[in-house]
Amino acid sequence: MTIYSLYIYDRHCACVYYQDWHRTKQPKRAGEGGILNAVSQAVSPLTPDGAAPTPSAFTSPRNTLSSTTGLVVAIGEDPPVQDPVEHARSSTLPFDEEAKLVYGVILSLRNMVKKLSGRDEQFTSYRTSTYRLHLYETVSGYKFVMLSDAATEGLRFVLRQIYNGPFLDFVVRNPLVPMDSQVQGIDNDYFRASIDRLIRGLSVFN
Amino acid sequence: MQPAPANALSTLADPPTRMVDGAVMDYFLIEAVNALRVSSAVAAARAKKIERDMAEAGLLPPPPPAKQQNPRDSTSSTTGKIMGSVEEEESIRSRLEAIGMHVGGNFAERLCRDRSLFSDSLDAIKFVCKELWVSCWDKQVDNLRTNHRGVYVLQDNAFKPIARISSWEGRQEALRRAKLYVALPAGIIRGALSRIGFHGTVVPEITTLPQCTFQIKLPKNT
Repeated sequence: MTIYSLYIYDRHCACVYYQDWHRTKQPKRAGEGGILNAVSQAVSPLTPDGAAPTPSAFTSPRNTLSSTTGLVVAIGEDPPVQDPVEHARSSTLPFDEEAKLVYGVILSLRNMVKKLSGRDEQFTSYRTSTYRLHLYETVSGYKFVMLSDAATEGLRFVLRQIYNGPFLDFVVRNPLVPMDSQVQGIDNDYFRASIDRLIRGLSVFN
Repeated sequence: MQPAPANALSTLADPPTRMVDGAVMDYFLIEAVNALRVSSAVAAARAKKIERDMAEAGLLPPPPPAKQQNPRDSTSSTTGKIMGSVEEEESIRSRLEAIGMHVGGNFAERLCRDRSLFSDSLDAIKFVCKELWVSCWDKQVDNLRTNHRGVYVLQDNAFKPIARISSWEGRQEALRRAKLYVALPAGIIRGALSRIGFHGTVVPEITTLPQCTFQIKLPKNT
């Protein structure tokens, strides 16, 4: 029982935040202009002079699976799971395409559910043989998407906790994070650290 | 049965006045800084335009010719940019402090309603550290130092207005930008002190987030 990754999308359909805990293959960096500025240190495009973006002060102590250059391959992973998105292509997708793919999936499923059952039904999660995707959507248009292993139930509650806790505290009430901007994401130190603490404190995490 | 301790009862009977809603204050400060930034830019642009118009009409001596931006001379262009933004920051900061002074004065009126006159400046500073801090930021000051000659240093280890400031660009950048958000609290302190009769200056300083110190200089004759 474990949690793979978290994506946050805003109401402009752009990915504004990404964090992962277990991935078989590291995400490939997005191309120039592919994703917004402050989404995640690990997947931002490299600056033109070739240097990696300045590493954030937060590095999780037990995170052996990713470094700031994103080149470490996962080792010691329990049941060998393929990240679901990787199945689509044989080579790794750059991150911006991967984010768009995930967004497309949830948008289509959401629209289909609304058409089938009426406006009161909400798409919450879907499960395949290897993973499960949970969606929590806020009234303001923010979509929290979490990927976990197939056996985990009910992570919608966790997503709601993330919204009520770290998101409200360190994104909404943080003067330095532009909320509805179309050019910048919402990544920052405190937010990343508090989400990490919350997720690692869950009983379903490993 | 043991009687409940006296101060617990008295806090129940007479709860400290909470003047500020924390969440509303955060949102207000965010919007206020953005609005003031835009307003200062407009005011500065307007002043420059008036200067230029007057210079063209011959009323003012023409402004000194702007330094030719030598594309290969990187130092002069960066200092020019930095000076411009420092001036802007300074004007936003002084406006925030002025707003804070009005607010602080009125807070002091409300909070001092039932108490006796202040005996000396140390008494006034203690009032600030306890009652003003509790009513605005829900805690007391963590450390007070003085040189007994009119200079007081108040230290708060987890100052509420800057407790959530965190930037994608790292700690240094967050620290630099946080300086603007303590201008309003500094104004509140200064306004409260000046309304109760102690006119001085308050200088905020942030060494590490979220720790903040305020250096208060009061005149020596009290």
